[in-house]
Amino acid sequence: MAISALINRQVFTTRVFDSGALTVLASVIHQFAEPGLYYVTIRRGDAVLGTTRFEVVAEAGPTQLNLDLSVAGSPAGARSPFLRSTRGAAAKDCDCGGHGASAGREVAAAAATPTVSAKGYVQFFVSQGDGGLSASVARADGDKVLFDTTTLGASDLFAVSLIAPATFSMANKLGKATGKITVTFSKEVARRLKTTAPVYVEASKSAFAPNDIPLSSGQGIVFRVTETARIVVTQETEPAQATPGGRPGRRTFRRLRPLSQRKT
Amino acid sequence: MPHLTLAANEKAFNKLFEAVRDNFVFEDSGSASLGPLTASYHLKVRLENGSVELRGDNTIKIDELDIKWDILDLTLSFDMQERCFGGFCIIPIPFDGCALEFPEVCLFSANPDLTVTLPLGGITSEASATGTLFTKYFVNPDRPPGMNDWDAQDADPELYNTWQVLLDLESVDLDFIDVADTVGDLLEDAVNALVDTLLAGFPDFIKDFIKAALGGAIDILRLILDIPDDIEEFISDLLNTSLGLIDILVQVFFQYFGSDSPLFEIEDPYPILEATANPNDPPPPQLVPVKIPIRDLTVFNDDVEMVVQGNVG
Repeated sequence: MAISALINRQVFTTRVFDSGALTVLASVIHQFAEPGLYYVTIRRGDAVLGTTRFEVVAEAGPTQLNLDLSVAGSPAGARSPFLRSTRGAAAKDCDCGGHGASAGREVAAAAATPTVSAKGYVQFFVSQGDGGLSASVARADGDKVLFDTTTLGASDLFAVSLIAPATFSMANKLGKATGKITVTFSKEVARRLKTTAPVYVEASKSAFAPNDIPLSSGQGIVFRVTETARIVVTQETEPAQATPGGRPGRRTFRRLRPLSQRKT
Repeated sequence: MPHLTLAANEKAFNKLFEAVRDNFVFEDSGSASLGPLTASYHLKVRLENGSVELRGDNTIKIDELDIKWDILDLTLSFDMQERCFGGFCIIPIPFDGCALEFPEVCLFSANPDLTVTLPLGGITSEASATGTLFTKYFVNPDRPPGMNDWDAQDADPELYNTWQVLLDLESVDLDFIDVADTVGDLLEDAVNALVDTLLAGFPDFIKDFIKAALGGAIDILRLILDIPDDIEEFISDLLNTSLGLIDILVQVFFQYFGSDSPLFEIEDPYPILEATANPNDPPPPQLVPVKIPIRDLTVFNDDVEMVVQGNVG
């Protein structure tokens, strides 16, 4: 007997979701309006783990580019086994990877350098492993860092999918904003995670709006950054244990008496 | 009138059969894909018992031949359905879809995901067969061209040609493989053990999610196997029909008795005198060994004995 499945344990064991240290089920989204070639440096803390690149094109192109930071340094075209459609022979989506990148939505043909429209979005995320990864982006023809996931700015997005039915705190580490997220398990939502709309939160330095958020397990939460931010969502309580389906039926046992002693 | 006649009564013929039967060992493995399920087998069988009856119509009947399945491992592999998180729309376009989606990150990878091996060995099937004896001249393929008959006899191993008596099976009746009635419990226990292993260490809330994913495999099991009522029937059908073990075995029998394992063989030319000292004078000191060629070998039987006849020359 054997199980050959690899299990993406971090999906369930990650307790801190930090826009500046990305883990599984958290992503940072940024728009690069200037066409050109960009280099991405991927770090864990101060250590550089690898680099990748992408190109922003002025003409019509893919509107979404996903950069999986966890496969940085892998051979070109490498994809995480935990991304949907990477299993088996029949991939449903285009493998448009290259240096750890995969483009979704309106995807271009496989190329060494993935591209995205200047009107599109680049999404930095982690599909596997312990994470704690950040990315900084500079133009290929310059050293100046144009974007760093450790410091989000206005119009950036931080999206998280929280699974554990527990209470989470949320804080802007570059400001004073704090808040609470209460996650509960809902079978209904669990069955249709893709089609359940996320909850949107405005994130400024001073406050989250709203700052007390009820959420279903697996439902998305999207922080719209309005001022400088590094958003950290931390699990504060242990997950509620599954409740039994109902009280077990009561059984009454009676001692049998000999027939001769029974009242008739 | 033939120059040579050999005969073996039914008791002697049974001895010939037993020698061939006891040398039979068949080991094989294979697989079949059945949608979401892949079934594969590894088997090793041998033969025991059985009686041989010589019949008056020049046929042989083999009865109650036991097929001992020393190894019969059935491996079932299921592809567990993906269970993914994320995938929701971050930036919707009103009435026009979605501009940006959260990546879908999945819980499992690898294919197949769930593999269960059921050790079904130790069972016995029964076979019966009828056939006709025939002779075949076997030219030793390892004998170099031009090697004379004496050198072929002296070679180690011997490289002489032979006349063979084989059994041309006309029909083989093989019982369906009858799995033990505990196979349903065996499979359920195996799947439960796998699931327990898979979920070991996860908190309960995680199990809620994973059970949804495992629903695929369990549902497949339930759907296909109709657990627990029809599991014996399902496994038997899998072995007998889908994997075709019965057909495979029948073909092996045809090949084994009809080609690979003669009941009886005669060296050709047949040595009748070894080299001996020359009693005559003058030399040579030794007389050469004598071998006689055999031709036109035939075999037939009645209900009393098997008779082999041939000519010399």
